[in-house]
Amino acid sequence: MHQSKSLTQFLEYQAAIRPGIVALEDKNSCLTFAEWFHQAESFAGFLAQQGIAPQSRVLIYLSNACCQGPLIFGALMAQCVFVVVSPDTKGRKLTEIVENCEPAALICDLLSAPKLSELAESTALLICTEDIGSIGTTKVTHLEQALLQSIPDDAIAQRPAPDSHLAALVYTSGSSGTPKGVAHTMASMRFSGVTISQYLELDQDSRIFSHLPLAFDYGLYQLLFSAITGAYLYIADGFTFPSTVADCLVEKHISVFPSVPTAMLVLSPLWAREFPLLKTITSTGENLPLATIKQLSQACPHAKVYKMYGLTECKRVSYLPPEKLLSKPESVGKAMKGTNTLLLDESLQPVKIGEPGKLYIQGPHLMQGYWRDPALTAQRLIKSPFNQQLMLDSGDYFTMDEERDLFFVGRGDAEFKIRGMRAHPAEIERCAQAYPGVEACAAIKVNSSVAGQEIVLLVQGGNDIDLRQLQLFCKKNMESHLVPRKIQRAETLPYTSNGKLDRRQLLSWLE
Amino acid sequence: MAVKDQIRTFILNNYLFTDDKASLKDEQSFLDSGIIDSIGVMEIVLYLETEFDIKVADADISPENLDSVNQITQFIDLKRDSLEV
Repeated sequence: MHQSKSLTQFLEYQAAIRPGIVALEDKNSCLTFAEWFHQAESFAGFLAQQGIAPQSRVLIYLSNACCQGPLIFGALMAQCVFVVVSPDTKGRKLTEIVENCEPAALICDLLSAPKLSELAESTALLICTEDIGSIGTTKVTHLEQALLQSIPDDAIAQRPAPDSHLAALVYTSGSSGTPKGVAHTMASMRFSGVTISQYLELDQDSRIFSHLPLAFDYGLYQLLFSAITGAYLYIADGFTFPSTVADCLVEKHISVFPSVPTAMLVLSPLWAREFPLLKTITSTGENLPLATIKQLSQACPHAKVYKMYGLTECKRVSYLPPEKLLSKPESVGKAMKGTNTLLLDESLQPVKIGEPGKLYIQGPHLMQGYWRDPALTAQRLIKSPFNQQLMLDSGDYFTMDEERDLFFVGRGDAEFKIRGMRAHPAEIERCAQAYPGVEACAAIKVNSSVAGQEIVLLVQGGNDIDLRQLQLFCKKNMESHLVPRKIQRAETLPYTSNGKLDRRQLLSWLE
Repeated sequence: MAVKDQIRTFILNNYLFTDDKASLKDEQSFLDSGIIDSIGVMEIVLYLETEFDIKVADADISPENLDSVNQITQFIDLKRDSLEV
């Protein structure tokens, strides 16, 4: 039944049956389901009035806040493709994303309006959270007008977008150092949203607290869960002090807490307090360490802890049922219902139980491809030799036990996770190389006592490079989680016979 | 070096990547200016514990104690006073 409704119809349904119930809340405002739906309708009408064609990209460049709910669902109602970009994305990366997705409309705050009006095509519609009139010759629409204007009934096509239409582009880090847009359809997002909310047993009584960026798919799906199940969602804009999270969990009667292992480590003081209402804790992004698992099970004995694994290209791959957590703490569980995982060797033949193989994924949750990059898409989405259907090459190696539970072994390339988010060292290196005097550099991830892991940059180049200035340059041009915590000089960097950075040797240098 | 100068230098070096004292006012809120994230807070706690030989309890990790150079300085004074008693 669920799989027949489109994402926007879920919200319409919630608005009809529980209009006055608060759906979304942030530190400044809240929206009921009816307000969320009507503002989304208004935004869709506004986009249509402005002549924004279906499947045009709508780029949202805002900090986490309630208004993203109506913006995202309004874009979908107008059959557009939404692109949520973290306001922490800057410099060349932001330029490349804008150039790649060519947004027809951009939504930003006062601070970033001048920057975005410069980047965007002159024909793009610029919408700002404040009423600023115009920037130069560019007219700027006030967000309030786009969300709250009343629209004539026949002005918008309220028919839901077909399943095959694109719904979103989610940008992630690529091995070339340039961002790639993972394109998901209405159908793939609905499938993941519905399937995940079912296994997490979310319903209209669930109360979710999310500190995860909406630009990160893990954060974005919390919003979808709210529309699909009628759950309440508190949207925090990250967090700095653990105590503010604890206070919010108590004050807002939170029952569902999604997070990433790094954040859970930082939040460990939290678990000295009691949260009797907390029923569900979810973790993905990186491996949840056994010590954290034990801490959570002690602090919240009534909570179910879900260890999960996924990648943006198919949202979620697997989860470990909470009852298996203590008996198989190292596993990420098995494939979600309705999907399939395969562990294959180099000639695409299945490996034996217990032997490592590369993980391939099949199911309705797979991305449609990388936006405007057919070559890369063809590398990652390949035809299965068994049933001729597409399967996604995860790039990750796993073993599987008799119960088909997966155990992570390692990655095939240099990509790594930092604070639960995927990053490719090439992205950091390419950015740092733009600094005058840097001949070559290498970004590596090392263990740190506080954050679990942090990035160190080794730089080869003239001795006149001011490392402090270089770090400042990185801060200005990279998202904060990517900024190297330490920069060290290197005489020469090691290369393999193919002329690629020898990352294995680099790690041994630091030991 | 006075405690306040030490704290300011630590914040400037590690989060603003500069030696320029003018870029951080003593009363400036880290939260409001987005200087420090949650991991930064834990690093500051670790620094205070090792550098000033104090014990920072979980309950002490709050904006009231750690949100500016001035607040951290006062917090250290308070901690040291309580040690002497």
